[in-house]
Amino acid sequence: MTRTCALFRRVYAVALLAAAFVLSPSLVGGMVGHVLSGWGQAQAQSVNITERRELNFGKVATSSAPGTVTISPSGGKSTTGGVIDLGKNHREARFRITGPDDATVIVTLPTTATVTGGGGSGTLSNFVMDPPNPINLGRRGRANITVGATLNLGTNLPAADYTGNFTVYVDIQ
Amino acid sequence: MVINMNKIGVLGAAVAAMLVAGQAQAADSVNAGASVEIAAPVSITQDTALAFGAIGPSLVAGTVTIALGGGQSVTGGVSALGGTTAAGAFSVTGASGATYGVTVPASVSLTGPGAPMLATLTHDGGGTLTGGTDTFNVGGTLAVGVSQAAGSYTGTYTVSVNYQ
Repeated sequence: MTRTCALFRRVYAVALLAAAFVLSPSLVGGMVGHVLSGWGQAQAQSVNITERRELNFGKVATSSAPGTVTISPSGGKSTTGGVIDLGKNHREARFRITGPDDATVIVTLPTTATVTGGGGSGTLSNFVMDPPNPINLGRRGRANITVGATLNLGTNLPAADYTGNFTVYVDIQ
Repeated sequence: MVINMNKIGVLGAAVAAMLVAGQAQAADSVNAGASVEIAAPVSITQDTALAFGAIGPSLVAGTVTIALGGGQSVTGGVSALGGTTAAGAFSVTGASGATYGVTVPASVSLTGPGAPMLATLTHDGGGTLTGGTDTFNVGGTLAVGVSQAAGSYTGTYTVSVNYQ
């Protein structure tokens, strides 16, 4: 009974101290900095993603019927509906991810984005990437991914260069 | 008691370190570009209307034909009597280097004072919009009836172009 009470007190004390660490950011920082700095640095390795090439749908024409133009992750171009493929410089997007060796990362693509130009606009959807998630960064801590998407276009859009942006996220799993 | 406090300190530090590790999940994002070049829509205008000229009917049916080059010829009981003759001429504009196609109806009915006359149509065109423009022509063969009533006969037909 006495032993049990003593043990209980000890556990209680530990819990109380742990709570104090949680509630005191400066104390946490101090402890990590002094006692566990090496371990803390190992966990602090970051992941980075950069754009190597932008997504380019090339040249298309619109007509009296709406349609789509799609660039696949391998760079293939296809059209549907009233959109006419006029070729020219279409390219899939390319990104480079760097991070800890052998880390596994998850890439999050947007669900939608917009391109505008000449008073008109188009909507991107169905973003697809290669390779699919999860992605291992391997022994060099590096991976390249390609991204394609579908651009939805309305009827008789004004002639212009249309541009836009989309955000790609990467997280270490 | 001193020993106990040391144990407590190490345990507390471990708990705190785990909490720090939980918050230090590495992530990054990049704002990427997307672009498309949308070409001018293809458009068409009529420069010259198809005209079969002035003809004289007879007790024998016949035809008058306008070739794509604009030349007139007659068959059967039809006589060519001058007047304005011309192939239909059209201009196409659009994206330079794009290919386009032409759609012309097979025939058009000309109406006037007498019985309607049917003209079957021919055309050229389609291909590459070199420099963003091209032209093409429409010709036809008009069937003229026996003793076709005198007067002016007209009709309209719709020509369309599209990128291919």
